[in-house]
Amino acid sequence: MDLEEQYDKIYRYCYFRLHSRELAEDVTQETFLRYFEHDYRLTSGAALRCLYTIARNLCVDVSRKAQPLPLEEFPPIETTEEQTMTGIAVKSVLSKLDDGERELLLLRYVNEVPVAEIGRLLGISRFAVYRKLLSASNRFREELRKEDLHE
Amino acid sequence: MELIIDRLSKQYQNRIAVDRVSAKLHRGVYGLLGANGAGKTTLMRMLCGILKPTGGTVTFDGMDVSEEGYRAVLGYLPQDFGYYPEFSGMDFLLYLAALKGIPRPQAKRRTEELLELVSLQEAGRKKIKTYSGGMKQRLGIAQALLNDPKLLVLDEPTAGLDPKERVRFRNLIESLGKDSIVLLSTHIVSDIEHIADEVLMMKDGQLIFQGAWNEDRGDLEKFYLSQFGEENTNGEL
Amino acid sequence: MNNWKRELRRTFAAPPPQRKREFLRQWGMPRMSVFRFLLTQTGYIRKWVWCVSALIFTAAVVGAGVLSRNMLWEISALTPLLALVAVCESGRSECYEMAELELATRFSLRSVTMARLCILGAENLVLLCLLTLLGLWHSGFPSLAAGVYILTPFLLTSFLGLYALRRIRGREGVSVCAGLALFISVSVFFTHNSLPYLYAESCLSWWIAGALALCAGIATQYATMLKQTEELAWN
Repeated sequence: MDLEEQYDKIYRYCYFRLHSRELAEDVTQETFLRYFEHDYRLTSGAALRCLYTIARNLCVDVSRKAQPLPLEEFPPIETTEEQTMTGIAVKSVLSKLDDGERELLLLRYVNEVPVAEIGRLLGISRFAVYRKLLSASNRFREELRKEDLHE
Repeated sequence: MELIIDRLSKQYQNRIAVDRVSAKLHRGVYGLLGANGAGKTTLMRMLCGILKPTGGTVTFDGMDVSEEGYRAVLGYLPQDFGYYPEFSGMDFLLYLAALKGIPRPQAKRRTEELLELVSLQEAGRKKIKTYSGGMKQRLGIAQALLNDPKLLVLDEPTAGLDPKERVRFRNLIESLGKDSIVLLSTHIVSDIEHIADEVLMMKDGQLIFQGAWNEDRGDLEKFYLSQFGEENTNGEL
Repeated sequence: MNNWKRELRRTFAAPPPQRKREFLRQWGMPRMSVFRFLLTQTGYIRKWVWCVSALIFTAAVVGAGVLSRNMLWEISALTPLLALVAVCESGRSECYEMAELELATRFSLRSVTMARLCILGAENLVLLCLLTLLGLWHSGFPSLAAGVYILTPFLLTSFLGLYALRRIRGREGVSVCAGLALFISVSVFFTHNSLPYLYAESCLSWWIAGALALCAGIATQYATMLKQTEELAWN
């Protein structure tokens, strides 16, 4: 397993659940520490699932304690002006999706977790994952189109 | 994190290049000062396991210098290095990453990061042949950082850098010293005056001073000159 | 069509993590397996090494297969070239002053040299076997003799080349090797006409003895060379 790559991905996952850089990094590191407590060897799929399960549970715990920031209040990311413009537009698209849809899109298309593993992680069938992914990506594209029309 | 140098010596047929040097190094930046021929390079080469000592030992966290584990945490910039003529800056880093045992995907990512760190991202794809002295030196520094070393040994790292690059380099060293042992040799006092947590001074193969240099000891530069005489350093100041 | 996916990835750009490097360090850098290492080293063997092998092989195939000629002497004269290329490749780090850097890495110069030797040795072995078969084709010699006539110039060049390269460092060493290879190549080509009794059956045992002695010589040369790569030569 490419640790650094997974670190980035788990961190991204946590960031979009917790909306805080500090918290996300704490949870990411805790995830890896717990993961390495099991010293048995896992296949790459099982290892991924194990990581995401730990991260997911930790995120739930953390957000129960602290009220997360709404999505619009994300701290700005250092980018060029043009990127920031599309960034804002795209952020508002994201805020129109619900938590489940965001999680699914992030897992599948950004972190590239295999569909079968997503299914096991969320405790739903592979078929259900496909169906939800399709509707989530349709929603995303639709919102994106609306946003484009605005400009 | 501890580097223990214990009575380290190197003797050639008719002369002693390094004479029973002992030191314990911890996290931080160490400046090794000395005139040319004082034995700095020989000492550093022994710390990197590329010269065999005639006496004494070097260990890092219990690992002997001859072990693979030692080399795995080591980053080294020699005083001068060559390169295969067909290499671009990026090839050079990827090649050394392979020798450092870093798998390809990580090596690619690390190479990009480091080229950016030493501001060579534009020149990365150009042949090293076309590099200026300063660019090549920066590439050398990037190479030493590939494996994220815990022990970083830099032999005259500022040679060939222009004043602006020197300032950037000093900042880089200072930040690296926060979680590694950084040992750099130089004969230019101002290179290490403000960033070295400790100064090691070498003369005729022996350590003549070792410890933190603070204001009440006086001017480091003056002390250095009094030890080595002006003729050795004039040209560099 | 994948535009929206790209857009999506941009949407989920998180600010860069701040404490990644220190954290990941506790598990050390991932390490490469020996097999992977050999594979990457194969990639760093220069292209012309493979080209020379391919050219010699093609020449032999064309000569023996297409033109139905006795290619034994041509092949035997070409093998020094093969040896030259292999020897130069093994001494490459010295030549370009990369040895100091390579000595301080996890897979030290010793492993690199060893890896290159293994790869080139395996390649040469296969190629020489094939060449022997091709050389045998129209030659009328018994297979042992053909094998020995092809192998001996190769071994002689390897041995002398290694010796020269260890003694004379850098580019001059390479030039000396090239000179040696050329000399052996030319003499092989001419002796089989001018000194035919050298290739008489009665001399075969001498040839075999010579080839075996050269094998032993090469082995010791390589052993010394590997020993030398343990430490930087003092200059």
